[in-house]
Amino acid sequence: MRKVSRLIKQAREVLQIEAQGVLDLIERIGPEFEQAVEMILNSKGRVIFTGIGKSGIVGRKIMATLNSTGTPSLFLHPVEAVHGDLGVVTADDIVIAISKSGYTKELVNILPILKNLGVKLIAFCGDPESPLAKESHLFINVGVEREACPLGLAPTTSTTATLAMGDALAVVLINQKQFNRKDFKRFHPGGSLGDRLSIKIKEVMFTGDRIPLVAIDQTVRETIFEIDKKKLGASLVVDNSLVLLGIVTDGDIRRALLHWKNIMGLKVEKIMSKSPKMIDEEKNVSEAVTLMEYNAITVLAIVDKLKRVKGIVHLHGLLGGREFRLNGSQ
Amino acid sequence: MEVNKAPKGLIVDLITPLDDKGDIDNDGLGSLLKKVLPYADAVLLASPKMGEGSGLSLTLKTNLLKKATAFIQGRIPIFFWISEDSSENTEKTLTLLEDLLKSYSYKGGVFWLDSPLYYHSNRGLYDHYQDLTLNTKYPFVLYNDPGLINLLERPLKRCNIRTSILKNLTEIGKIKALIFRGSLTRVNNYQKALNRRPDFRVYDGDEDRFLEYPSMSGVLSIGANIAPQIWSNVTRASLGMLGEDRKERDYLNQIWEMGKLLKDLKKIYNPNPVWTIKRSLVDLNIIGFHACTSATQPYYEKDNILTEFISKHTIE
Repeated sequence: MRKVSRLIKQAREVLQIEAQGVLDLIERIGPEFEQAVEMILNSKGRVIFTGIGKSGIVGRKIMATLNSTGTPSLFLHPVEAVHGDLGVVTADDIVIAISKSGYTKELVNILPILKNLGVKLIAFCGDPESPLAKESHLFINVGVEREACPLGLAPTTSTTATLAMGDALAVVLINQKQFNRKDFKRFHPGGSLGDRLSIKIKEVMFTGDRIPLVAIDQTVRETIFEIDKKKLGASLVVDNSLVLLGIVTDGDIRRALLHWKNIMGLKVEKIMSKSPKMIDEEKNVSEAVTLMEYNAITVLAIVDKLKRVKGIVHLHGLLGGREFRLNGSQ
Repeated sequence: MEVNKAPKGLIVDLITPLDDKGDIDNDGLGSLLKKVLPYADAVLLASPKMGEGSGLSLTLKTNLLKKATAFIQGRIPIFFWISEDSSENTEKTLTLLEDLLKSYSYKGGVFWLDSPLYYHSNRGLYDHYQDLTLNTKYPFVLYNDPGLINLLERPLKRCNIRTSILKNLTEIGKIKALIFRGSLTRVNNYQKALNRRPDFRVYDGDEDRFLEYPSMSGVLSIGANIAPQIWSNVTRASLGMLGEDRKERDYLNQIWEMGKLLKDLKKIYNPNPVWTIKRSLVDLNIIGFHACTSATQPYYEKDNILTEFISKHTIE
């Protein structure tokens, strides 16, 4: 009995500390928050979140919230960024960099590159003296006075506070954009995000002419045309019975260009990935999203039990990066 | 050294080395400071309990400050406890110590640490500090320790600074920080009262609290007298001050083990920290004498478990 009481007391202390961390933000919100909102509203680009570890996870959640409330967002991993993913960033974008200390090396390393690209930089961190805070155009203080974890080994209060600040940003943006119930329905046709992820893939996949498709004996040139035309960044490769044999992505073409002098005349078989990820059309959207996140891919082939291509989905489409369309309709 | 902000990190609550005649043990003080300085972000001298400040005469306090400043030479800030049994005596001590520092133009950072409820009630505290801060060029740190106030023989209505009073006190720019002991609810309320002062630091005055739920300003540590390096590592890790050092693969495990060690260490010296730690420092040839003021109760044990623990775990 005594043990339970001690555990409950400890749990209450943790909740008290975390709640206090969020409450402290109320007094701290200032003109820089308003400037951040203005900056996002006036931007022609997207909001790109970046962060590592638990800050990265928090960044992904805020990104998802912004996407589902009408602000196009995406997540950029700081390590992947320096290995090519920075290509996704344009001068019109706003980058929100998240770090509890503001000293995270991987994050600090990409700041000069981001600034050179001309993006606007907003820091979500807890130390105004940190390199991240100093290098950013705006500093939003999400610092907390106390972590709720022994020795502060795991960020607890600080991640809660950052998440809450992200929600504050999303809600203020909703109001500023006058995002109404109709808009919300457009982004959540299933009712809630949960409902949406539980519907069958076959209900949301691109089908028919929307599927980028080439035959195994076609050339790379024809494949590039197909990818360009269907605008999903990849094309499926099939045999005469539409059985999936492979996939060619933008990345495969990039690698082929480095390997061969002239790739246009090559057969697509030479450059395709021969073990494409696929999923049954009867599965749920959530399973497709999990599979794509696990394999770090953005395009997934949808097949029937005989591995015949029935459709294709893109991660951004499933997560709300664009309007959610039933059966891939326009 | 101009001080605009109180330091962040480990504040070592230093024992006061005394010789067998009851004077400051100069060599012992030097050796102890030499041991802790590389790891401390600040050092607290003459603290009421650990530094036996409540039992030190004004002459001893003056000697202590003089000798410590000569050794520290501005490398880290010094916190010095100035509270006496009345406002007048506290002011007198402050003036004397201030004059001492002026006499040799000490350039290092100094913070006067004051436990206001030790000699004053909550009522009129704002006016008291307005007067007190006018008499000095050095900033102040408040010390809220209900345990200390409860030790006083005279009954007091309150043993904590009231939150509304603290809010008023933070309007005085020279008050830079607070060392806090007490309930989590109270420190949360204090924190709310301090929102207008982002430069204001709140240090944990309780080692256990810091090891459980670390504050972001730092900790006042008794154990750092004997294990300054481990305390520094844990504090810096908890406050995110490690930088590149945390790249070691088993960094989390190392900090966890160090935290456990510090808790075990505390269990040993907790019944009588001054007596036990001084005895171990004598065993380790850091200070020369095991002398304490009359304010410290003797605590006899057959073997010195703390020294054995230090040797067993090769604590430096």
